[in-house]
Amino acid sequence: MRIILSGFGVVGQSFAKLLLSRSEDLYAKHGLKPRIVGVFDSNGSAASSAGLDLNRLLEVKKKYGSIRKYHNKEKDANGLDMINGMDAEVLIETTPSNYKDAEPGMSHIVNAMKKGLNVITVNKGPLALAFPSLIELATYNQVQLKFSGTVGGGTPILDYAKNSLRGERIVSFQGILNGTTNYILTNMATGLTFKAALADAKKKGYVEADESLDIDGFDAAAKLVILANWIMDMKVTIKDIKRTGIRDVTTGDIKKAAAKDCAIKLVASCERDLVVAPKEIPLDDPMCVNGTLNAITFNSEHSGQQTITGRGAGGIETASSILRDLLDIKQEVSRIEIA
Amino acid sequence: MGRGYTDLKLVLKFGGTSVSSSQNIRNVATLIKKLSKEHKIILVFSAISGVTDDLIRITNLIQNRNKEAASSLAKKIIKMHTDIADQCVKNSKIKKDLLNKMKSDLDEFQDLLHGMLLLGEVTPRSSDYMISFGERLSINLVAFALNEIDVKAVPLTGKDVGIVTDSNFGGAKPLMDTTRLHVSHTVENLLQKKTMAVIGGFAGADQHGNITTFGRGGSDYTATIIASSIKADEVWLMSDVDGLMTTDPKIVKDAKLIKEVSYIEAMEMALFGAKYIHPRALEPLVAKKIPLRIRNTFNVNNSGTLVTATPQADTQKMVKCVSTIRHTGLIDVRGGSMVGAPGTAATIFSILAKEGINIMMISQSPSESSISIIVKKNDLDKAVNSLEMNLLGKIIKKVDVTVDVSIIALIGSGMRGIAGVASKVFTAVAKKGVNVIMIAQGSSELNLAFVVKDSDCNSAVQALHDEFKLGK
Repeated sequence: MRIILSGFGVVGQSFAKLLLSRSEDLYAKHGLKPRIVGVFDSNGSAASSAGLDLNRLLEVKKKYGSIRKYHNKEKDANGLDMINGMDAEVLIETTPSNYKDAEPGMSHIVNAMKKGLNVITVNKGPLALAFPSLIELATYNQVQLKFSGTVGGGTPILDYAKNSLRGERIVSFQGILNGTTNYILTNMATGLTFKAALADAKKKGYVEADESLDIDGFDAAAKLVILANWIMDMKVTIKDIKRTGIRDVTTGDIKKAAAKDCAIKLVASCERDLVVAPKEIPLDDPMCVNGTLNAITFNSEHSGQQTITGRGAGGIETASSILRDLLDIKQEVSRIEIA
Repeated sequence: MGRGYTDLKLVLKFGGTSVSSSQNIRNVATLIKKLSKEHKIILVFSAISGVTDDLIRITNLIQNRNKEAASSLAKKIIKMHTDIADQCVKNSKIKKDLLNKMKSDLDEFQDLLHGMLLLGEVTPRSSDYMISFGERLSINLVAFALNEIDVKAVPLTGKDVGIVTDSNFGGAKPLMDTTRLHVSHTVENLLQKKTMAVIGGFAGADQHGNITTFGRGGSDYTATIIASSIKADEVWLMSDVDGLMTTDPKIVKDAKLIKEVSYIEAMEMALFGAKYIHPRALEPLVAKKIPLRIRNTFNVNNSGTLVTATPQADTQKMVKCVSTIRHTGLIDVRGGSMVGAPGTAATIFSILAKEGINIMMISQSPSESSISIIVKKNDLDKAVNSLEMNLLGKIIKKVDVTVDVSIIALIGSGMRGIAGVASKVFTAVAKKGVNVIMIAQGSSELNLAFVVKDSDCNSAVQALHDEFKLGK
């Protein structure tokens, strides 16, 4: 299976490492031989129709900070050229999320699907801004669009709700979907101010380069868009979410909540409206998790409440979700071809 | 206007007559300016009357390698637009801008024509590109005429505004979720800048950017696609009639305007030749429950016909209208070996389909020894010939033809589940001594259709219109 990898940051590199460590097992157990035939990021690109040498790719990236030096020649294709010009089956989109115009990820995904490539994205921007449209284009072009790493990272929240609960009707759900803000709020509960807790989270590398994406609830809102579309069949985008971040949460608020045996969490909920906002949650609620953990509770018509918790985003967790999507695509493609 | 509500988000679609002369364009511009003081207006325009037909003719001429005729027809189109452009704007600065815009579009048109002539080839894709030019040109005229009376407006093609369709050239369908995303973005931006969008109807583009068209009457479809994308409050289809009528006023003098119909009734009427709505045009509105109004450009004090999800109770009648499709042909196919032979109907219909003949109405007697088919008059000879060539003497023993018949249809959701409608209908018709040749009623009971000789059509329609008191 030929893969074009868009973005070679933490997730991209983790995915390359994962392929290296799992290659024998993927080949033997799943009949999957992934070849990364092209990689590009904002600094440069590398391509080989026979598949790139991943060890060298990682080395070059480590040594020079860019994959540009993989080839000796200074020729460089940009992302869209590579997507439009190279033969491949799958595009993996890992460039950073942006909630203004979702570029360049949006163009990568749309062009890849137009060309008949299946797409795996861990970039939430395009989904947050255009989920209904992207699903429509995938269906129209008869390709698969997978995004299981966008919500819950390695914890298969989407798959659980869509497949494990199939036949059930999910009435509503609410969850803690952003690990960074949960870490900050957990620390504030021990007495830290918002400022101090944010500084600590930054030091630990938990905060996005643009801190607003976490703090002001964009990341949680994007995940809520994905869940609402995918699980509840709503056709919504990030514009439809009522969003409040955690900037205005004070230690006073947290103490007040604690007096009632509650904690303040940034909760994304889908009931009548789609809301992301700080909310008091009882300490004994299974959803009330601490640190960087994520949790989500589904209320279903017949089987009641179910809560899943797990680690949210992280390089290797997200890479494992990409692999999961890749196996799904391989299975689906070979099913179609045999039929 | 009418009900005294203001500040609605309205999509207004104007037909070809409203742009067919510089005077009409100026009048329409004035009307739009007046409306824009109360409402947010988004405009959709058809091509100048007859232009799309001429463009289709050009593609046919190219196909037949009739280079000179194609070029001269193209010249006629170019001259007509340049003349109107010259007359419809007076301000010299605006006129210069308009003429420049026209020139750049017309240059592209000529390049395309030249290319197609060189190849002598018309593909569905190049044909759509060619026939979309009518709207591309007409919107320039309107937008600049609006600019002249101080209304900020920009011409946008369906592609420019963001209508994304499948690649089914000539009969494209929008990819609605993608279209909604792009159109709402474009239109909201313009509304914020207080600039009016003047959108060309009939066409969009597929995901690769190739121009596609929606088929006949597709400008209505454009209007409803836009309305659904931006959640408009209402769509107004502006034409030169007051709205849908209880029947053809040329046949029945006291034919009346229908005040309200449901979406389903309107769809039936569209299929039965109420030529003011594109049959698919209502689809985008139904889900969002956006009402549609059919109104007269030249009589704006009349509130027209309202098409809505739930018409008001006092407008509900058993029968809403008596529609006709005049001058059709009837073919009666008989043969003893048709009885109990599965697949006979399929054979007959597939032979007709192969010839590209559309069947308008069918009925078969339970004895299975005959099938009656109604086709358009133009298709009749071709249909009869193909049946005779392929089937006569085999499963068919006889093909009878009645040349000039009319379909009469009663439409109204009030007929559903009411006993005695048919008897009322046929008694009224029989009283006039009219013989009914063929009958069909869908099990939806939204319409009851039957066929009479065309010479009997007027008196039958009059009788039914009276019977159901539609003129009252």
